[in-house]
Amino acid sequence: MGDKKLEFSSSQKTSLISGYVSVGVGAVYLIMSLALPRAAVGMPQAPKVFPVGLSVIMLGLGAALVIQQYLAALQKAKSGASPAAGKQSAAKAKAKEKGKLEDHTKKIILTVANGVLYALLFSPIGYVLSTIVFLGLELLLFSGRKRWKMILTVSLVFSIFVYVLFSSVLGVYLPRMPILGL
Amino acid sequence: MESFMLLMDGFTVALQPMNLLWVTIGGVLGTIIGMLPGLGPATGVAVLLPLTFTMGPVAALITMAGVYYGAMFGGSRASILLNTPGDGAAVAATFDGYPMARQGRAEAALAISAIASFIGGTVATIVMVFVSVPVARFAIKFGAAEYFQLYVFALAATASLTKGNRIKGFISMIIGLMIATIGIDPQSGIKRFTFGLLELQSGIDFLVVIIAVFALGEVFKSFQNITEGKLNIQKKFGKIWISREEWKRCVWPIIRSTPIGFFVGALPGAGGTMASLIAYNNERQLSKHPEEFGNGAIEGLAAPEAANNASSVGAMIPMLTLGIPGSGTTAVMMGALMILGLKPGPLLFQQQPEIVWGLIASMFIGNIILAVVNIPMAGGLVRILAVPPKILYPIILGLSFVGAYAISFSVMDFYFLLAFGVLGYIMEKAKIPSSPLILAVIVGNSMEQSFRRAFVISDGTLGIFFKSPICIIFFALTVISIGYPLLKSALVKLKERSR
Repeated sequence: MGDKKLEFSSSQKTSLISGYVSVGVGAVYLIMSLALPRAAVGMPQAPKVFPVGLSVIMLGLGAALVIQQYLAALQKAKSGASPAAGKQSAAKAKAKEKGKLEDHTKKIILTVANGVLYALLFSPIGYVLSTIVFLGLELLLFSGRKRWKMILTVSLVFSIFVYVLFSSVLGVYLPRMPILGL
Repeated sequence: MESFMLLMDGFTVALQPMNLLWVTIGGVLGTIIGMLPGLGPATGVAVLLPLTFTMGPVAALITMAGVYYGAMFGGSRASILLNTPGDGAAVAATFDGYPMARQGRAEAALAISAIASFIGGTVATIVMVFVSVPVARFAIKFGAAEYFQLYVFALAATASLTKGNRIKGFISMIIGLMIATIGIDPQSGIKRFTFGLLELQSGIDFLVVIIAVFALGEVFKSFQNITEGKLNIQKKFGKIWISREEWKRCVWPIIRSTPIGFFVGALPGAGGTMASLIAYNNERQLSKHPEEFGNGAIEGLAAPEAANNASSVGAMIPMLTLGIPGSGTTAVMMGALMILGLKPGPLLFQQQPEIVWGLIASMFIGNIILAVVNIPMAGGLVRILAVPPKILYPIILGLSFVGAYAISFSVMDFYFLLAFGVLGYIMEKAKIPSSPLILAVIVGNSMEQSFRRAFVISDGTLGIFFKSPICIIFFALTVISIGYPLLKSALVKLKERSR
């Protein structure tokens, strides 16, 4: 073996990353657990025991996942299966996949940003208006500006319908428009 | 006999016109969500939960039951007509359901799926009436140590039974337990992992986590093919029914698959997915013409559908009697019960029998109404699928936000919802299963508290966890549920090597 570099398939790479992240999460959580204050009542260490146990298990699991990937890669290297076969066409498909993935990730990031905006607007301008903005932007993201009539209709109807449903039929209070004192 | 009287009382409440209206509304809405590709009963119940927040307990439960069954019917509808199962449990329905639809036998496929689901669900509910009371009576003797061992077993089984890499199942479980430790520790009053945020002191509501993972996470995943235009779907149907011959082929498969589904569903962690796959494989092995399976064999659709519905009823048993949800959907149902101020577990049967029996009665009625509504309405409801997903998914997002807000009226939950939605999506990408996380978030607190209570009782020794026979049995089950799959894969490897 020695200098020969181990090759990981893409799913093994994902697992490797998951393993490292788990070890990281376990470590951070362990440090935070140990830093917890002592309990004033009962056994002083009692609030720490369970979290510390969790972090130790997490560290073990993360390490096991990493080791598992290395062992699998080692075994493959030994048996001499070359992952290079059919690499070219695979690379092409991969590039296509990647373009799709990037677009997908962009949409998720934009949706999360839209959700944050929704949270910021919700309390000051109330349920109906903030929901029209949120839903409008979300629909815009997928349908484009040309469908503005549909976007406007759907977000208006949804917001007002849900508001009326919750406040009058179900009796769940949703903020109306606090900024104007309503 | 007493149970029977209580069940009858449950029926009188569940049969009130208003409740019948709710179960129908819940059923139709659930069907719509269930039909959407990628969204199943867990998402349906999670998203529609806020509808029930201000209802009385029985009305809320019957609405939930309607949503639940509706989403299951909707899921198999999508499996049959579009080959897009809503969740894992509906996958087996695509094997023969979709080929049947392609051969122009969509009517028979839709009808047998509704009939098999109805029989599976109803028979399982009858069995449940007899099983749940003894289980609850038995569980009432459990002390803190027994409960701790039970939680460990339920979590270990869930993590171990998930498909794919088992280590990842356990990682998911630990993440869930970590989330559950956030907030003020009820025994000592110490703030744990709150990062100085006031909103984190009361912990993160597990319903927010559930809505985030099941609704947001799934919708994020669906963004990939959201712009792929309209779905090509059959909208005109003949009479939705089956012939006498088709019925004859299906009777035995349905009867055989129902107990399989019920039993698998009652196990912690093994849900409808496993039940329906086992039933399907079982029928293929028993069949005289196994070559027809996968090419539109009607019993290949009837068997998994019956097993799926039976398992959804079976999963209610550990949830109601022990407070341990065996599947994603029962986890959400348990959340719904807790929102109503009820604590599922053996005491529920003693203190509020009317609720338990009301729920069981609702399940009977939900099952009947959904079967009645679904067969004639199949053609109409399917048209909703003609509304493009790029409009439907943003609406699901809107419903998730209003649902999360209605739980505790805090905008902070919006941020948690987004954060856990992203976490759910990333986990999905990394092939880390989400169900162990959900179960852990729900039972995490009780698990730690029972651990510490047992510890105090025993003056700080671990012996108490292995003292009673019940403890030892649960411990043995934990060892088996972790060890058996390991052993099995080791044996498979040995066999391969010897070849």
